[in-house]
Order: sequence, then C-alpha cells, then structure tokens
Amino acid sequence: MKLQFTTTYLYKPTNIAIHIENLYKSYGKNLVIKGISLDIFKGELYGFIGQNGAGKSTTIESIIGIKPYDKGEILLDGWPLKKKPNQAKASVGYVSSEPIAYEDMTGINYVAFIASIYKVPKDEFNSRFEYLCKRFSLKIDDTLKLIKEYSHGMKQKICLIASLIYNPKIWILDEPTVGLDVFTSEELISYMQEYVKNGNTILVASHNIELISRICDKVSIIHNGTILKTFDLKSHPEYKSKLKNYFLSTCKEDNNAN
Amino acid sequence: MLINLLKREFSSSYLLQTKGIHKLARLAINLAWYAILIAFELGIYILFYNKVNVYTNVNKAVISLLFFAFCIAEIIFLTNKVQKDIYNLKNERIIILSHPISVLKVYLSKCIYLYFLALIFNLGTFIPIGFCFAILNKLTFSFYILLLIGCLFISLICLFISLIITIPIREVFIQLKRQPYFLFIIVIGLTFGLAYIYSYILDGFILLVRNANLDSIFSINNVNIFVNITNNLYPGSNLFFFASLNNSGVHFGYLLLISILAFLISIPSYFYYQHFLLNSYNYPTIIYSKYANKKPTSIRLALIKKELTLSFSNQDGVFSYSSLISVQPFLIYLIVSSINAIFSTGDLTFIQSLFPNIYASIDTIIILLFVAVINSTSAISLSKEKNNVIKLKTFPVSFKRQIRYKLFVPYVISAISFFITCLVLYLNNEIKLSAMFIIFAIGLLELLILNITSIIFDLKTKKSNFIMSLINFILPIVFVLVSALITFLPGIDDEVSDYYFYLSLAGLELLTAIISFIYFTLNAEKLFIKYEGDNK
Repeated sequence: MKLQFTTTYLYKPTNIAIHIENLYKSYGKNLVIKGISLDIFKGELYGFIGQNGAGKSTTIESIIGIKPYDKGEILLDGWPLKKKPNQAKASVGYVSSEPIAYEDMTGINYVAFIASIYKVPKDEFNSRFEYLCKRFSLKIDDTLKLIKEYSHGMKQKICLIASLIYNPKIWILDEPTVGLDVFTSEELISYMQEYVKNGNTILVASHNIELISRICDKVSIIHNGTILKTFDLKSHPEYKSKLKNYFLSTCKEDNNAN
Repeated sequence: MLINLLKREFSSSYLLQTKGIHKLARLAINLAWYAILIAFELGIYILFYNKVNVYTNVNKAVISLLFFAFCIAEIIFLTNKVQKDIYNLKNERIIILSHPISVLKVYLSKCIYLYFLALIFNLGTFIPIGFCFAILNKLTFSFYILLLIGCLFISLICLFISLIITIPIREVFIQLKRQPYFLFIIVIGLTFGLAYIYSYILDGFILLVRNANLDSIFSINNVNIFVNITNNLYPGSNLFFFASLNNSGVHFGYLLLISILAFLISIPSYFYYQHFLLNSYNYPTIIYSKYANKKPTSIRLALIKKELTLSFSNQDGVFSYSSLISVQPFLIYLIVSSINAIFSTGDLTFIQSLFPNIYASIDTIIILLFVAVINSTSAISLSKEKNNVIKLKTFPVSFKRQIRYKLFVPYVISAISFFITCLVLYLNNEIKLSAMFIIFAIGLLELLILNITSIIFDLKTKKSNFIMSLINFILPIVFVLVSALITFLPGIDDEVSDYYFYLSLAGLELLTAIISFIYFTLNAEKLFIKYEGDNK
C-alpha cells in the first residue's frame, strides 16, 4: 500500500510528454548544458538543431538516463527520471546516432531480448516484429543472422525496430537517417509522422535542417548548451523555408555576443 | 614514398604509439621483459647443457634442434604478425585505394617492417643461445660474426614462408568463422592439444629436475639417430654448420638457395594481397536461429541469456573463456600432478622433509592462480558490453538488478568448472576429500572477490584491463603467502596441520569477500549511474 501511495504521489498526470527544468550538465569543469528548460507535449514531433558540440546529444542522453546530470529535473510521461527511473524509462524508445546492439546476437534475438526487457506480450511479438521489418525493409531471413555480419544500414534498421517493438509513448532519435538509404529514410519519416498522429511523441536531433524543418512541429536551436530560440512550425509554417537562415544568423549573433 | 610508408609502419607499432615519457616507459618495460625472458631461456639452456655435455656430440645436435625449433617459432610468430599487420587493418583498404599509392610499395614496406620484427625475434632466440653455446665451447670470433650473418638469411626464409602460409590459414579460418559450432570444437581440440604439449614439456622439465639418470636416453645408438636427424633439420642445422665453420661454403649455399626458393614460393602472396585490397569478400552467411521459435521471455531469463552470450562470445580465439573453462580441470590437474611429482621424488624431496605441508600451499597457490587467470576473461563482463552500456542505462530495469546478473552469471559458470576441477584432483589422488571441499570454498571466495573487483574497476577506471590482469596474478599469491606465513612460520619446527593453513586462507578470503561485497552493494549502483559509456 505504501509503495502504491508513493508511486501515485510522484506521478504527475499531464499532457506533457517530456518536461525539462533548469538542466545543467558538465564534463569536469566544462559546463556543456547551461540551464535548459523545455516542455514537449504529447503528440508533438519536436526537433533539436545545432552545431557539433552544441549540446544536442548530451541533452538527449541526459533525458534518457545515459548521462547523469548535475542539476535540474526531468519528467518523462509524468514520471521523474531521478526518483522513478524505471517507470520513466519504460515509456521511452531511443535510437542513437551510431547503431548500438549486441553484435554476437542475431537480429531477431536482439529484438526479442529488448522485447523481454520491456515485457512485450508473447502473442504480440511476432506480428509487431514482422510489421516493423516490412516497414523498414529488413528481410526476416536477414534477422536470423548475427548482427556483426550486418551492414551499417541494416544495423540501424534493427536498432529502429528494437526501439519500436514495445510501442514506446516517447521515441527519441539522434541523427536517425544517417546510414539509411533514401527509400528507408523516406519510410522512417512517414512512420514518424504516423507515430505522432497516434498520440505519441517524438524528439529528434539532427544536423539536417531540411529534414527537421520538413517533419517537425516545433524546433529548438541549441547553441553552447542553451536553447537560443524555439520555432513553432505548425502554427507558423512560413518559418520552414527560412529555418536554415534563422539558424545561421541566431548562432552568429550568439557567438558575437559572447 | 617507400620511406614514408615505412615510417607509417613503424609509427603504428604498439611500442611507439604513445608519446614522451610514456613511450620511454613502455619501451623500458618491454625491454626488461625481453631481458628476463632471455635470462630465463639461457638459464634453462645452461642447465640442460650441463646435463647432456657428458655425451659426445649431443650438445651440437641440441643446438641444431633448438635452431630448427626457433625457425618454427619464428614462422608462427611472423604468420600471426602477417595476419594482423597486413590483412587485419580494416580501414587500410580504403586509405590505400583512395590515394595514388603503389600497392607494391605498400606491400614492400610491410615486408620490411616484418623483416625488422623477425630480426628482433632472432635477438631473443638464435643469438643468445648461439652466443652462449660459443662461450661454453670457447669457439672463435668467426662463429659470432657468421651466426649474425646467418640470422639475416634465417629471418628472410621465415618471413617468406610466413607470407605464403598465411594465405591457406586465413582462408580456412574465414570459412570456419562461418561454422561457429565446428570452430568451437576445433578451438577446444587445439586447447587440449596445447595442454598436452605443455604436459610433455613439463614432464621433460621434471625429468631434469629429478636428476634422473639420462644414460638410458642417450645411449650410443640413440645419440647417433638423434645427431643424424638434427643434421637434416633445415635451415636450423645449416645455420649452425655455417657459423661453426663446418663446410661453411656448402651450408651458406644452402641458406642462399633456401632463401631464393622461399622468395619464389612467396611471390603469389603479393598477388593475394592485391586481390585482398581490390575485392571485398562476400562469403555466405549462416542462419543461426529459426524464426518461428523466437518469443520474448522474462526479464530474468533475458538478462541471463545476454550475459551468457557476452561470456561465450569468441573474441580471443583459442584463449577464449569458453575453451579455457572447458579445459580448466584438465590443465590444472596436469600442473598440480607435475608439481607434486617434483616434490615427491628427486633432488627436491628434502624440501618436503623439511616442510611436510609444503604441498598444501604450493598446490593451492597453483590452483588459485590458474583459476584467477582462466576466469579473468569472464570477470570483465562489463568491458565486454562496450558501447552497449549506453543501452543498459536506458532499460527500465534497476541498475542493481542488471549488475547482479553481470556478477553472478559468469560466477556460476566459473564455479561449476571449478567444482569439476576439484573433483578431478580428488579422484586422481592429488588432494584429499576434505581438502577438495576446502579448496572449492576458497576458490569460490576468490572468484567472488575477483569478479567484484573487476566490475568495480571497470566502472571506475579506463585502465581496468591492465589493473585486473595484475590483480589476477597478484591477489592469489598474496592470499596464499600471507596464509602460509600465518600458519607455518610460527610453528616451523612443529608438525602444523595443513588444515590450519586452509582455515587461515579461508578466513582471509572471507574477510576480503565480505568487505568487497559490502563495498559493491553500497557503491555499484552509484558508480553505474556515473559511468558514461565506453571506457575503452
């Protein structure tokens, strides 16, 4: 009873999928995230753009619990990451920029392993797996081979499938189209758009401003560890074509100011 | 161009990769190891020399045999280097093909670098043993000079042979890698084979230490056969005869002829290299599992399966955890039985009469040392995760639970193998029944301490592999020595039961295990949260 009470107390039912408040993160003496605050609502496709080393990946890795942050609060689907990490992480799927998987496992064994960790019902596994393989053009026969024998693109595909096998409410992707062919990239984009239509949330970080402006509802420019500007592309689609110019001028202004 | 390519080969050498003081330190450490190795080699040779010097011509035959053995060892060493330095450089293909670099010059630079390594190999084998032989036999200065000249040819011959035999070995291994179960059987077979060879060498060593009468071995008839065989062990025998001015001209001709022949035979290796650079291999892959059988399992089973996959992933070839753990009972039995034989017969029996319980500490130190070293590859399960540590941190499974499986799955496998080891030792009368249970308990504690230490070091330091290698060697020795001192020294004149020794060892290990377990329980989760991915 006590545990239930505590859990209920910590859970904040909300329409915000990702809540970040005053986030600070440093590597030794080097402060790389300087007080980022952000709310991403359920059903939103949110983008991060920024230069190399701006803090995009570090922010994402802090959100999903890979990198411990110094200060601030992160709520995922209403669950506080620090106090209730398992509940918070249960609703998140993550795809890193470099495909990461157990290379001595076969593709299907790896996805089954991830499905076991996220308690996917046995009777749902095969249909979901087959559907995702079809969507991302990965042959079932190829999933029976060891991942270490895969090409970079195939590895990226199996990581995408593994991150979606448990239907996470929040899907976080870091440079998702790197290594994918044009057809699979287009399929991924269309899948992302369908995914948010079903009430799920996506956070995507990329250097590819064309991609971000094309698919995202909101975009934040991250520069030197802070959010410089956020654009609501859904309400103001006219920003889409000028996003690159805005990005360049905003970053230059900030560099000059510093 | 060739000079630049050569510079590149040498600068990518392991010894020269670091800078400044680190480079000097690494060179100094390696030189020190090399010197120790040569001193050890010379010590054994002189011991053997004195034993067989009474038999006419045997020492000359022995040096021919040794030179031949060194040739074989050099070919094995170079074949491994050819595989690593010529064919195992993944990005090199892209670098070479995308620049206007002559493939022949690249190949030549690699061969020159390997030839240099071969000469260094000679400095630790042919030259010290040859010089030692010359000093012991008071040979003239010409022997030294001719031996050095001969070694230049020997290195060439070994290099050319290595270049060509790498091709079939490489092709066979590529095919075997596609057949993991067959490869596993071969690896187990090879490990057993190596263990057998080791046992024969050990038996030979025991024979010498026991001071047994060698007259029966070196009878006139046997010596004649031995000398005749060693006279024909090319090119080792040619090197010896050439250096010792025994038909020097003829044997120089042989060395030259063999070098030319080896060179001609090795020419196809250049075309193979060219083919390797230009063609991306596309071997058929194996289907490892049946699709219909795959279902998610419980978290517990999933984590256990993952740990088993990591523990048994065959990253280290013959010396992988799976093969070493399989031969552990056999290997430890061979060593313990040989050590017991040394102390029960021959010159060293006096030690046993002085310290009747010496077996207990020596057997235990050997068992614990081997168990530590054999199991060290499983203890580094966190290092084996590599970048997947990032993935672990995103799982909705507590870090404590994940770390627990990381600790206990390899531990249970090692414990099973260790129990079989103890049982084999008992069934072969090497240890008593009560000692079997005590050693098993002590070994379990040692494995626990090492596994915990390994995970803690993996989480804390980037140099965990080096530190753990040291700990794996030092910890068992320290435990046994301290326990032996506590037990035997106070009662050196009395009959002290070896059970006191086992008891003090168990107590010492239990104390360390409790301390490390408490530290682990309190800190592992915090360290895991702080751990930011691939430390390697």
